[in-house]
Amino acid sequence: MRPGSRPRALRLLALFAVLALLAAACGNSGDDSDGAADEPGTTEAPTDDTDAPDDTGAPGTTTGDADDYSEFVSFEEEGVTDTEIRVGSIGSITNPIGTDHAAFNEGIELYFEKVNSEGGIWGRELRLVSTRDDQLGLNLQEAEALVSQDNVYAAFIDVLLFTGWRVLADEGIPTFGWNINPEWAGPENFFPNTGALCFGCIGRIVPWLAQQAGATTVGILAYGNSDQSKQCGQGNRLSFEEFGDDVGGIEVGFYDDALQFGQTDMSAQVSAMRSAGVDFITTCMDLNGVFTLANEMALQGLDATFHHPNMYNREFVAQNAALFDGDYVIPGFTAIEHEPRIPAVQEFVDAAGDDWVELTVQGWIAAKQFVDALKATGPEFTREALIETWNNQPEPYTADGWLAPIDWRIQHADPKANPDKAAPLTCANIVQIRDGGFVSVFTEGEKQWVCFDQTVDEFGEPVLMSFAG
Amino acid sequence: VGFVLTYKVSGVFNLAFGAQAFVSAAVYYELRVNREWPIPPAVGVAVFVVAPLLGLILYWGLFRYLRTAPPIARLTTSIGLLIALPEIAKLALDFGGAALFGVQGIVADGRTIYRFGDYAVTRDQLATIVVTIAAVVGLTLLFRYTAVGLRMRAVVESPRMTELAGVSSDRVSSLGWVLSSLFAGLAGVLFGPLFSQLSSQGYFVLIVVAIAAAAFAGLQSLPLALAGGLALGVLSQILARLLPTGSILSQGLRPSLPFVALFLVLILMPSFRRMRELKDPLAGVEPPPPALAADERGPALTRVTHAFAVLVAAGALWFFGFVADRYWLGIATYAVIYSLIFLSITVFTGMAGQISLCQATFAAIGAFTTGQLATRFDMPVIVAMVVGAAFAAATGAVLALPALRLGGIYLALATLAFALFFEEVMVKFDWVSGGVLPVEVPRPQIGPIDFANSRAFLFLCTAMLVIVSFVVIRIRSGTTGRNMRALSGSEVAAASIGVNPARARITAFALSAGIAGLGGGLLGMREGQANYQANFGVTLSLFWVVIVMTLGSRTVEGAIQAGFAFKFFPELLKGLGLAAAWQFIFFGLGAITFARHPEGIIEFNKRMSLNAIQRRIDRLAAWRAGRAGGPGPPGEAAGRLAPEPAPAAAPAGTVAQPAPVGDVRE
Repeated sequence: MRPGSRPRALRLLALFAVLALLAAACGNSGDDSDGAADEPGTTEAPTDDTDAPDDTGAPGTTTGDADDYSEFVSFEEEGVTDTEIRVGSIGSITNPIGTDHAAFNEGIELYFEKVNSEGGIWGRELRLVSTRDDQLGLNLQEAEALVSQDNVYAAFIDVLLFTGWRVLADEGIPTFGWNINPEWAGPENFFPNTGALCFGCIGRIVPWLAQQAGATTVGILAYGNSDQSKQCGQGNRLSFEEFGDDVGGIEVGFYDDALQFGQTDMSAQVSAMRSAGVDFITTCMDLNGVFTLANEMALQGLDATFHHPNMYNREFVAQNAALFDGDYVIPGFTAIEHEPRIPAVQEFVDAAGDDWVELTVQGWIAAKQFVDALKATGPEFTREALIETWNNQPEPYTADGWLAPIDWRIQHADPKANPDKAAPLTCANIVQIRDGGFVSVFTEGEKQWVCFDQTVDEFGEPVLMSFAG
Repeated sequence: VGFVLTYKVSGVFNLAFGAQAFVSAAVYYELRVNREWPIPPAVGVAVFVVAPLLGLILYWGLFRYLRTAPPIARLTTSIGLLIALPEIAKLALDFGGAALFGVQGIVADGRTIYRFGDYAVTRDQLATIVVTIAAVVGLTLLFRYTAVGLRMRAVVESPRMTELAGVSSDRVSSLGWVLSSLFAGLAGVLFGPLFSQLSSQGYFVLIVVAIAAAAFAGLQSLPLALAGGLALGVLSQILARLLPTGSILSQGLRPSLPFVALFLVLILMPSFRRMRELKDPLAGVEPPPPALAADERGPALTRVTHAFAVLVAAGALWFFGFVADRYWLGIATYAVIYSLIFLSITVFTGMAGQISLCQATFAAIGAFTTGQLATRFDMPVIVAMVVGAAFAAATGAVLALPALRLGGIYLALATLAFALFFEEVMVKFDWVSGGVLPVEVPRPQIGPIDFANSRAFLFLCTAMLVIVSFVVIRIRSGTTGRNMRALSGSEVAAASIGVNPARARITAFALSAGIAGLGGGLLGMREGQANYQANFGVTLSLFWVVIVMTLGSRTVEGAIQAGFAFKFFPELLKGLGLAAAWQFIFFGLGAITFARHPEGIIEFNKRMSLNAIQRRIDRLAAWRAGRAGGPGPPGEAAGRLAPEPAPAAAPAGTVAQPAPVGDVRE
């Protein structure tokens, strides 16, 4: 042992002992606070007895004096000047899976242009002043930049990983966007394009769709290294186990939730599905995974109809027309292809022409919800007032028919953890892939949504509905 | 096959092979899909012009100077290229962020299906099979029966000896690089139809799986590499058919098969345990590393430097204590935490002279443990963080046991396999990562100080960094550090003077993993959650290694500079209006300087700057002495920094032997 090493070791030991004592004496920040209300999935929805503003209107429509939102009231609020309302966005513009998140901002800009050309709102113009790129992993950092540097009134979010949710929630910034993240559930200042997502919930839509496709045996595939994908697969399996008999005795013939992201060989899965006689497939995978699966199915001659939860992509479908012909796609909003077009959709097509992708539509809808919330709040639209007003609309919001009804009085809460907060209706807007494009199916005039009553235990009958007001 | 080919012709385990493949695939996509060229000229340009040209550029601009460099230097360079090349290609081809759908193969109507009884293949697959078999046969013949093949192998063994035999090693090596790059390009174009869209990520995943097959071949045999690839594919299919879907076994074993196979091959195959990387027998003894600039500067300059450091520290304290907004506080906190994590690379690479590609995994283990203990068991988060660090250290020690006999690139590959195993298998368990929502990591509260406050938390992180830096410096100057450094020089020599190599390596692993785990816990507190995808992915591990080795892996100062560069350099780019991709290009290309300046480019430039300043001081002193009529102060001149050792034995076209990377200074 070197001279002097023992005293040094003793000093180190003493240092660790002091640190250990300190550590033992300390607690965790927020231990004594009841911050649970802001945790995703645990929020209690506002109670029904909250007073709603008197000037709220019909479902999915705006409020106040009809079409007159020019009244100007000067007041102090972050991001609001006497001439403009400043908002900012965060998107995963640089991302490894090639989703065009920049299009989301284009959709917002398009809607703002429309509103501004009509004179703006409450005497001010709408401006998207910052468009931040979180590069997938920097969401928290960009959220902090947004709140501390951009001087914005509201935030628009379309990200793959929503790690900055807490910053936006704590700051009480009205936040709108594209809901694919579990973190949207909870905070009452978050207003995405759907209510809180339910990963792993039982649903009626997919079994019903399988029945419409004439299926007898279903195959379900999901990624094993993504909890969201895995739970989605489990939810689908439970749905068929629960309602299989109600849709003609459809059985789950194949189930695999251990696939790898980026897997380029699915021959064993397809072979097993062939043996099981699978004729309908639902996946919880990205376009790459579905592409690999469909190619292998073509190779092995497995003829089955797909249900695609996330393939509303015209370019991709056009380039892979033969692989996906006859498959069903469920966009999260009223598909542009439905005829007759409802006015809200026509308004978008007039503004965007043919230059749009799915996220352009999502950006437009997010901006529309924001403007509708401003209208409902009135000329003194502080953040607090807007959140209060929008959470207490007496009727569910549908963006004039773009969306299935969202009741913000209850739908901030994760329906799996809070079954009593689930939406009473579950609805889907469905299109079919034919000849490399999308065609409208399961519609009747402006009734373009297939809905089930979720408040009953039995399967029930689907109803075609319109939310166009 | 491509991996093995590159290794055979260059001696470089080229992790950038996938990036080279992506470059050709991107060019092919641009020509075929965007510009609608016919297949033959598009393939001709992408595979037979761009790929060989890239190989030539890489050889003449880079690997020519690394032929006699240590394997770690070559590996670091290839990791840098892996990060930089795809970004350069995307910027050059102006791909932007949009999806690149409609990737096409090298034959028309590639999806046309041919059936042979129960079996079916597409034209694309048929083309791939034919080209691969032809490549394996052709290359095997080339290496076994032609003079060029023999010369290539000879150049890899020893370029100098080959030169003595009258063979131009440059010409042979460049031919080898042309050949291997051409095969990378061919692989890139052939892989294309496997994907729905062109993505460098897809190529990275595929290449990682291919490493297992290459390892199976001992990095030497082309037919064995082909057989290894086929065996892995078949085994994967058998598991998919036999194991019940949804079972723990299925979910654990199937996704991890290539990585488990890689790990087992590395630790079990006797050839790997015995094998030391290819090294020129005429390379001679490596010179000792140059002393650090700070150790040799004159006293006056040292006083000025210390005064400047105090000024900077005071300025930083004032700015972050009173002025900085939430954003800049957050950035600074990240920088401090990453500096702490990067100290783990200082220990493992700077002291022990090894490369680990799983430091982000150790950080993740620390973060997950901290979060789970604090949220599920209500443990004080500071205690949980220490336990997390200890658990990460234990994991590192356990990982070290089977990898004891591995060194250099094989150890790096084993750590990569472990990182991928963790990513594919462990992260998905709720009790590890938290499930759909990442596990939360609260911030501590000590007495009246609530570290939920960003400013307070920054100072907590800074205090942690100071403590860990102090510990690293003490360890470095103690017996443990000396043992580790002895290990990095020569394991045999270290053992001969009584150092227990196994113990030293386990200590290095555990210490390094523990520091990374501690940093991971802090990172979790910073984010409020332990989010694997956002903060701890395998590609981040690669980037971390590159940035630390570029800026300086030998010193604590280097790790801190790397941590701050990691967070502040992107801010600089943003200020200049440059795309985020440039940071990957800059740091990726920065890694190629490692072979020439293993002390790090900051240390190198510091030496140059201090030399220049010292010369001016000397001149000034001489001028004053001349005016006074007396001799100049001798002490200042004596403190001048010695120039870097000249590459005495280096022949034309090569660089001096870089110093070993096992010397850490405060």
